[in-house]
Amino acid sequence: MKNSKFCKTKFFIVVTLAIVLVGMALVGVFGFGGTSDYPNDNVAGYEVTVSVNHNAGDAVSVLKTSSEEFFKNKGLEFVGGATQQLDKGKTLIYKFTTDVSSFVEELEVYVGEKLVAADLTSVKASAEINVINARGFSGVWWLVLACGIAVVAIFIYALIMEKLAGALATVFSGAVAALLFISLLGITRISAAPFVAVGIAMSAALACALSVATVNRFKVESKNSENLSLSASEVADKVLAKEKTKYILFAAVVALTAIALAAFMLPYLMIAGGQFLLAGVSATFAAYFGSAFIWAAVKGKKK
Amino acid sequence: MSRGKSTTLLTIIGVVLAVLIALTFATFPVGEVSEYTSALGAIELDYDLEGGKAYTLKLSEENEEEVKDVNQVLDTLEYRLTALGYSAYSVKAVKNTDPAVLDYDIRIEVKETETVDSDIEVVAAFGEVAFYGGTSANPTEQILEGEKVVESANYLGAVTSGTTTAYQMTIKFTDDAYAYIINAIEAAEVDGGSYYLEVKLGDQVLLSGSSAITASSFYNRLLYITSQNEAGAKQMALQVTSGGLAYQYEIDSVEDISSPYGEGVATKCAIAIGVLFLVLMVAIIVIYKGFGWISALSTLAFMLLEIWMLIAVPGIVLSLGGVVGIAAALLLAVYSMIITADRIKEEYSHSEKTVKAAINRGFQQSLVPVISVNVVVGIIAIALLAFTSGTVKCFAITLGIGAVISLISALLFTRMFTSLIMPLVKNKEKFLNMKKVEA
Repeated sequence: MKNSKFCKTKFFIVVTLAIVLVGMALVGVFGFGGTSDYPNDNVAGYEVTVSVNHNAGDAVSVLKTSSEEFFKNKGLEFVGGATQQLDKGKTLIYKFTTDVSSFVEELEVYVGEKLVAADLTSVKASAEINVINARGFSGVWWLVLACGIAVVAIFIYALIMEKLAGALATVFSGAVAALLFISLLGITRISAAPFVAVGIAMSAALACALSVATVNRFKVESKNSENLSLSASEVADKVLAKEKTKYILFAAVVALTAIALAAFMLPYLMIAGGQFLLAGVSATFAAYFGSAFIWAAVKGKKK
Repeated sequence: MSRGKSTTLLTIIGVVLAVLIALTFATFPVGEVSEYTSALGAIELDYDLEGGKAYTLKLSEENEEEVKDVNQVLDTLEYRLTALGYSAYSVKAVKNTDPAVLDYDIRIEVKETETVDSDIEVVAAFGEVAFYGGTSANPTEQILEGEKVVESANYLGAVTSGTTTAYQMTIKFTDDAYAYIINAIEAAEVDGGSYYLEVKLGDQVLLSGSSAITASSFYNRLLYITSQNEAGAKQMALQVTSGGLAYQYEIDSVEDISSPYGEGVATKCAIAIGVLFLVLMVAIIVIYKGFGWISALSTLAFMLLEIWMLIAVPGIVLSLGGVVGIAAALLLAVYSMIITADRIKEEYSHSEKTVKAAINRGFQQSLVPVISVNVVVGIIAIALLAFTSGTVKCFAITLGIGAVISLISALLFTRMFTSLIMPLVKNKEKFLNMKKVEA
């Protein structure tokens, strides 16, 4: 194998750098994508609460259908339908990213008319709008500390099991996966919160896990009598060619999980599914290319 | 192993698995009055999956200071909620869009528990800890103002003396504060007097200044304080540690609230994991044939164990982060099994080994990578568990438990099912989808 497909090409470096640079630039300029609860301004969003004074007959059902009908008629899009019910369902909370104050009185009248039309004359509807104060992500530094300690522990473990090249490849893959995840989050504009910390941890964990198994394979194969004449990068290429099916299967299952979560069209499950996909893709890419790249670089070109 | 023995053992394991599946997913009547609820239904869900209670806090009329930074209040409230063991809560400041309305209300949305009402009272309690010292009883001169005085405060538990039970907490002073108090005590004693220290939290007296204190009242910078009620002692420890809530809020209303993620989110998550599990099973059976069936059985055992661990391990409250952790752990479990399957296949195809020898060698060869995969994930889970909170912590818990069970499944269950199934197979090579590759 004279021309190494994976290690000698600049594919990994170019793709990684491109994603990281574009992603970080987008995060730097626009911040992370946000839902109404987690934006980048002083105002997190707006909550419209629509209530009935008592839960008679189909009052709550009329409240819900007429409110949503009103929003649809006015072209007002609440955040993906993440409606919360308060006070045993008597109050519905709709979240918006824009100020819809000017529609609130009209909404109250509209819902009131619909209640009357449904013979619920004794039920009174009311609507009000609240602004939610924006806050930054909390607990970031604890996550960084946890990841830092994990990196040291994983490095020591991998150093014992897989020697220096394997240990470096494992932690490098984990770090690149986390970086790629953050960058892809910036590029795709998938809302960062409330799962960004889980996504970072998951991308790093999966990448380290995939990578440590792959570098073990590099080590075993490099000692194989068939491969003694091959350079480290050639051994890595040979292993990666064999491991390809496993990685493809892994990435496919990650994608499927994301689809399964997002398929219900619940906004937060779509965010969770999207982040699951990004974390899985980052981990697979970083482990597949990154572990070979570092392992071969540390091992040197010739055995 | 003989075919008869294999058949018997597989039948027993099959029955055990069937019973476990029934107990995990089915709900059925027991006798005439009671009903067995599935294990899945017994998993404790957090606020984000199940909803809970919403508490609205309004600024009290007695509040004197203008709220300059509402985020500081939210930080303190979140700190206190976390300290009391709540994870997937929501704390936000809301106010009417009318520009005339200046003050934010605070809405705390949290899982409903037996103690949630009293916990929220503790969380929202007002008052900063203040220290008063002097050479006469019940001192009124405030000391250590504007300094960091308390390093930590902890609730210790009940102390029973005779028929009386009191509840203890400790305040650990910083080096500087401790030195200040000890110097004051020594100075008073040099003058032939005594030193009195009173500790107050808002208007509440934590330590009465009616009795003199000496240097021996402290142990390793710790001052012991007792309260007559448990909630009071817990509250003191929590408030002293988290600092005072700078503004006075009152609980204005308490209402039930549904999950912020939408209706039936827990069921939908369960369906998503179920779909993932089934498709994974089909995929590995199609790709790996016989070993795919063996892996599928091991993965089934993995899933059942993971679900039962969520009930068996005390204190686990499942949030959406935990669901993601289960999905990630399931992926790792299958990945661990695939490592073994690939090694067996390669051992067989590239050597003169028999199927049995290839299986044995394949398991040996995959031991290190399988252990490594799960150890690495376990390390990350432990680190996250130790340093993070909320939904990340729940992710770490389910991922960590998953890593342990994945290891057991890949090393033990897969080996066991292989040993039991292989004697029953006539054409082992075809069953495992293996072929010799000519050199």
